[in-house]
Amino acid sequence: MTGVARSPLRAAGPYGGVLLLGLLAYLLPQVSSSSFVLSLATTALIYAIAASGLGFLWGQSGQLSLAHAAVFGIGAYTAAICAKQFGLTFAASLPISTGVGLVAGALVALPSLRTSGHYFVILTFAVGEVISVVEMRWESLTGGVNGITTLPGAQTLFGLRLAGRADYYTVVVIFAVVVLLVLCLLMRSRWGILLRSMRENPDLSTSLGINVPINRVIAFALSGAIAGLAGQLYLYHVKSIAPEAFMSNLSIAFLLVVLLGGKNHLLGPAVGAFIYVFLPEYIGLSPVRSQIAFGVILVIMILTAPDGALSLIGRLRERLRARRPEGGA
Amino acid sequence: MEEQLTLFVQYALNGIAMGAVYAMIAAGITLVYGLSRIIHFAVGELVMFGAFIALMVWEATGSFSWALAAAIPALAIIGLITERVVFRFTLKEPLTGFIVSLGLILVFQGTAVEIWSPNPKYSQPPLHGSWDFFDILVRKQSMLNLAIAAVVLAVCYVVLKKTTAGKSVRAVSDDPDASALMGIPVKKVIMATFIVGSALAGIAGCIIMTVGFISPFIGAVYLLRGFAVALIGGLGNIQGAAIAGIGLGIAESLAAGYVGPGWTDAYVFGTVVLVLLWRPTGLAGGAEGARI
Repeated sequence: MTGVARSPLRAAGPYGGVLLLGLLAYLLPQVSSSSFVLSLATTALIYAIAASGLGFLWGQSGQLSLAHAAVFGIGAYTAAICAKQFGLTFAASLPISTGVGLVAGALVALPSLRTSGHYFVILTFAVGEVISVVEMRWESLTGGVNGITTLPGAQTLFGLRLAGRADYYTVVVIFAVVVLLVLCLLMRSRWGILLRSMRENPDLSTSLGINVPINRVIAFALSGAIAGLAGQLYLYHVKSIAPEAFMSNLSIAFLLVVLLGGKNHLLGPAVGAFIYVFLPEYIGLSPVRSQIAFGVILVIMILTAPDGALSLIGRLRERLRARRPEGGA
Repeated sequence: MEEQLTLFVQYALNGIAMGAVYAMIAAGITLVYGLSRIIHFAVGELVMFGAFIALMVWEATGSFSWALAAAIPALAIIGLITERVVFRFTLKEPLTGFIVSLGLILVFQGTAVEIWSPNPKYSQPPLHGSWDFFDILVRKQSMLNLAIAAVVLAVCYVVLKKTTAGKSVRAVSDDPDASALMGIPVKKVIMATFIVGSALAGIAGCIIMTVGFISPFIGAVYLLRGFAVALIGGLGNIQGAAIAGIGLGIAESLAAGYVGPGWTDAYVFGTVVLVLLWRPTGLAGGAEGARI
């Protein structure tokens, strides 16, 4: 795919890449209809959506958040509470969980107006842990350590049955494509350029009249909204949630997913998510061993290829291109 | 009234004993940060490793001294290995070092589950019984723990302030380039701080083993307490860490005693957030730079 399809792909721009990925994902059930593979692919796509939000934040605005899993969890909890306490449907609670994620993301960002660098990352980690404790202890709302399991019965969205595995997979594919297209649009917009200029030099950006704090908070709010949306998709996929699912390890996992694919590529987090979810299953690693393996991979990636696997392909191509005229001469 | 006072002193005493442990973890964090500028987030997992190794040796030999004697060098070796294999490559990019430490969290936690199973483990404290001072129960183990922590912190302080080795550590923390020009082996000094910092986490782990349950997942709890203390005390400031550690221990113990234990984590982590918001570079120490 990389060799042949590249030039038309490049001509169509990253939009084409997103649509191609969506098409490939959509066709997956035709290739392998096993419900296990479908379930994994659904998880991978949900992680891809959530991690794309983090990747956008980290890659474009240069801010790293370790509270991303917590915001993802807030989205899932919001959807669960909407369903259980208020009997809302999937479609009705979607704007709520996305909106709550947006607000949570913006709140996480507020400290960035005063702190930066290491201190800010530690702070996001602490915020994430506080949210975990609240989820664990606010039993009347969150069900405490047992979490929330009940969900309302049969529902449909775009004429697809949410309870059906294949149908729900299609729903998630649609959301993934939409989110990635929106991110693609934003990355190529003037606002994307503005974020990158803030990342490279916040002081210079300020002197050019850019309101750095506001734009930073907006970027966080956007990534929070995406995490909240992904959280609801996750809830309707696994159908029960408990606080330990959203602890700091998941934030590190999202960070790994972003790093695996590459934080500067639109499709990087999606590629990373598929590697993260499918690789252990295909090698046959137990969850604990795959955690160890991914820890090692994270260390190796950040040391040798901090721009991710997609950048390795680019680097390889450049090396080949550099070699070719040499060989010719 | 008198009963309430006794209870208060009781809580405060328990808090001081735990606070000294937090101070030790924070001293390790602060040393490593002060010299390498790396935020070492896997330090909670080092504490957890120290606790499990101490528990194994304690159960096998029945001697707390042996447990300490095994955990300290074991963790020092882990510190040496992590520095040689990964952290020394990240000295130019401290953020990379931070992400490396996140990867190490996954590795250490997974390894601990593989070796010791994910279930929590309880142990009998090596020293049983307690003294009774005017109705205040002072557990012997708490006092031993406090003594260990106090000695360890005092040794760190004296070494840093009074010896040539300590002077070179302070010099590197102030200005690595000038130190190198003065002939101080900067890289070796940084390596030594990773060893000492990890060993401090190991000693903290030994003590934590005697206080309550341990499991492969306790790392984050001690990591955040260590960082809370290090940040409040000012990153790179050992005296600050000692005072802040005991302060946090007392506050936490009082909160657990009077309000209930369920929410203490939220208070501690909330404190980190508030302190960072109020004074973005910590309460004491002030500057981004380190003072050891």
